[in-house]
Amino acid sequence: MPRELTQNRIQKIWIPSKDGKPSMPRTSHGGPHLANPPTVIVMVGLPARGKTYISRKLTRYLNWIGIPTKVFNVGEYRREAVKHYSTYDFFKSDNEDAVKIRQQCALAALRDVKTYLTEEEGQVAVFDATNTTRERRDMILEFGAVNGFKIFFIESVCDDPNVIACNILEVKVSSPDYQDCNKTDAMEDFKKRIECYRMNYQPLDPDQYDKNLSFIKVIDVGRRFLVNRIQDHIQSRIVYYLMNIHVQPRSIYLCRHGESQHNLQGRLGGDSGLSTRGRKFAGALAKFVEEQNLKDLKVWTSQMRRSIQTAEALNVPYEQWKALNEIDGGVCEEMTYEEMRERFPDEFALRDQDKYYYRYPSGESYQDLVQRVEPVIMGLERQENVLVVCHQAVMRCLLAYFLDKSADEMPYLKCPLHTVLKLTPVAYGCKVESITLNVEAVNTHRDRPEEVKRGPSTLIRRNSVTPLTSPEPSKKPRIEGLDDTIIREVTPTQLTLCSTSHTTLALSTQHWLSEACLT
Amino acid sequence: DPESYHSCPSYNVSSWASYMTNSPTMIVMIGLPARGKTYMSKKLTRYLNWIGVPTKVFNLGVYRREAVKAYKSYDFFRHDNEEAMEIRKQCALVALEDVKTYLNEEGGQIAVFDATNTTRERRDLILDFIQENAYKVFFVESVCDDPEVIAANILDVKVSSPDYPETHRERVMDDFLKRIECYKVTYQPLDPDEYDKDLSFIKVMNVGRRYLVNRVQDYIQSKIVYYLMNIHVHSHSIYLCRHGESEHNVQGRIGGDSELSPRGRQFASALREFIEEHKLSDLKVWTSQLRRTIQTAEELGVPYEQWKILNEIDAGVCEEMTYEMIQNTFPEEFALRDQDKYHYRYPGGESYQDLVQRLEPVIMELERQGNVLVICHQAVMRCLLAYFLDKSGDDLPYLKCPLHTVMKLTPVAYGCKVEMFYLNVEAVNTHRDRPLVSPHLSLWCSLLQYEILMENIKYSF
Repeated sequence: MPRELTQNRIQKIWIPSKDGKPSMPRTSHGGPHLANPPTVIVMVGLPARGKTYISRKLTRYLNWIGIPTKVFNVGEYRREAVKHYSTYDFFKSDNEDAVKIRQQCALAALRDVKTYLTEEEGQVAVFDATNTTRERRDMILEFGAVNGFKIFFIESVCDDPNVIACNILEVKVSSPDYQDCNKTDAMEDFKKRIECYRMNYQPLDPDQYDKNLSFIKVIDVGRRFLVNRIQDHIQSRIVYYLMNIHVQPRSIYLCRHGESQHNLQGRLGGDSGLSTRGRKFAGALAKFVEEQNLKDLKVWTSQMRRSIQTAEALNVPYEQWKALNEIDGGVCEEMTYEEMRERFPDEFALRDQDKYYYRYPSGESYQDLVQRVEPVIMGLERQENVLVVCHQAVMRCLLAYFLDKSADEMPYLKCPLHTVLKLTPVAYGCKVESITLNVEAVNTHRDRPEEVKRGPSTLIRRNSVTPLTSPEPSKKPRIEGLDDTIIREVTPTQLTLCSTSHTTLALSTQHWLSEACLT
Repeated sequence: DPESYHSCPSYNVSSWASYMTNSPTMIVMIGLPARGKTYMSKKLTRYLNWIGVPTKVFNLGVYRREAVKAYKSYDFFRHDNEEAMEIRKQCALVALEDVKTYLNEEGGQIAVFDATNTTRERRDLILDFIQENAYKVFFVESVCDDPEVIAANILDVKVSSPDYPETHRERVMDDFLKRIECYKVTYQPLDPDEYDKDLSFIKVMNVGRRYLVNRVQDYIQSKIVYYLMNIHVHSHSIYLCRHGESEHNVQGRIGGDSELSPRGRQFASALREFIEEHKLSDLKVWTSQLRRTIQTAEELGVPYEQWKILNEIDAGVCEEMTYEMIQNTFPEEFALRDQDKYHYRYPGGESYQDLVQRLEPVIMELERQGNVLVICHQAVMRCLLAYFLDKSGDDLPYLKCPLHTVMKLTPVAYGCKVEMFYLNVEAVNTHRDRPLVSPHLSLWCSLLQYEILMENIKYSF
């Protein structure tokens, strides 16, 4: 006899139950298994090659599609350990004391990686450091083997001096390391820092030494890629994502359709036309677009009348995506919130309990929307200037991706009618400008209710599509804690230590570990 | 308005495909014989057509076999055989003309030029052609030096080629290996560092162990790269079936989220026995998020995964109606659906075309996986089957996917072997055949007139 099925009240997912209560589902998930066992993505490359840029962007994407991911930036650990950075001398390979500190920082970061992946339900950890020597990478591989983690390398190789100078100006000169320096001095020092690394740089060797590793070499900011031994779904998705992103300056404009007839009546969903004010907005939008004076602006709409009518006023070619249609309200389509509260009081309450996961009966949830809208994100990454004319819930999904907002925040992001959000990538994130086009409209936003009681029924979070905000990069050095761990003697060949150092740094401990299995 | 809809052939191209690229593209295969070029060409073409990008393969070997009726031996392929070289070049030019016709006049968007294309001279010829016609070009080079893989390829597809109708296997192998040697003499692989650094291409090395990707220009090229990186050649089987018969099935209702009928539950048991009999190792089981597929999977006693995107086609306002009710309530919609079942979208619902787009991640994941059993629904199963069996949008909505029947698909040579297993549990028949009477009466009349005309011409000789 098959087990009885009950439908989880918020997500409307059928799971087996015992005595009418949903039991822990043996295996049913919201979607396919994506990253099991955990994966450590290891960045490789000289400074100013875009490693942190890639780390953070990739992490933002993976979290948005529901794979808990976190960046571990060794530079941050170093800044915690060494309060004041003086000059590039710190990075000289013959600076013994500094080498030790840097080694300890890497190990501390790896220990945090282990904690994240084994105790904090992380699925992917991005180890953001230069990792330019075989020795360092071998240590990481051993760490992976001992803990049962998959290892995937992302190497960024670039020799174009213009690109590098640009990177340095954009993110290094303003780094905490150079807060007391002027730009020129900072640039000079950083270039010398790069030279310190370059001397010992051993790029990944696909033909011999590294031929059995899984990795992607990104060459010249995405002009070319070398991909070796992809092991699983998540690695293939990562490769696909990296091949679609670019660094050309551009802007993405997000807005909703003009005010619609249904908006005026307070009705959800449906496929109504624009109201008078909505048409006025479309005209204002056309003027706005002209004023922006962009070359090659692409315009995308949904397949719903109100967004197409809005785009029509622009008098430029536009493309319709069904994937941009508003969230499907199922049985609640075309109702006002009042009607919904009257006819489906339980559903109305459930939605407020957990607006992200809540699926309208025979409709969709924000969680479903993220999966639906993902190809649009991929398309947007490839494009340059784009204007997306869509809908409230859809726009919240897209915005959450660009601004790294969690599932919790997404359904409450403010996306008012008749307002354009201009997103411009800058440094490691996205600048947002909000432009109101001065045409009145109703307000369709509902704030998070004051008392939201979290019900006992919960949600199958694991492996479901659950955007999480990329967590703050770990800064805690835990260097002091290393005293307590078992320290093993190391053979001298494991580190390339050279002669004298001339550092003025005080070290709390002279111990250094080379065993990767941190306990 | 269905009339104007049919009169614009470009309308049938999926509207979302146009952002993928702004000009027709030629995919040019490169590689020694027996490197999987034709395998990749056909598979890629099947995938692109399925997602709605009109694509066609132009295989030079076919042209050559037309020009030279009887293949004698590998001597034909020697690079010092001037006469043969001239014939081969002529074939290439004819094929390129056909490519041009396909892309310019027949609504094609991608042409896959399947030949060795191993010399710079040949590739430069193609690049000139591309430039003249303002096409984009993307090269797919397959490099493989594993002798086992090559021998297996030869046995798999060459031994049964029209070039070798009745000869002994070993002789075939021997001749073919010598044929490969002829090409090796003049082979100039793509050079990413110098000569070819500005071209767009992917080098596939050792059957996908490694890839070198250079200068991807647009979205369709990046999708092609993604697809090529996800396919593999390991032997595996995909089992497709529908949920067991449901209560709605029994009442003749479409859509909804009803439970299994008693016969449906019987089928679920039979399915469990079927799986046990076939001793499938590491079988993954996927279902939709509708109750009837989950109930079916529950009976199997193995782990399964739910995918919302495997849900049945959304019939919008027609959900839970019988076909009779639809005909009575929405007679126009009912007629429209029969006119063009693939593109027809239920009001407030979906079309088969929408379904295909929705199912693409499933296909991609199926390509990555080993043995999988997919328990889904009639329209969904038709879409998946159409992908594996290369069926057009025209045929797709009429593929037969009866209840209580499992289809086993096994990749073989350049295609897919299908085996049907009826699990001996009765069920209603939910299939509606293509209507006999063409809704376009005028079209039918013209066809009839044309036939009569042809008959007359025939009799006048």
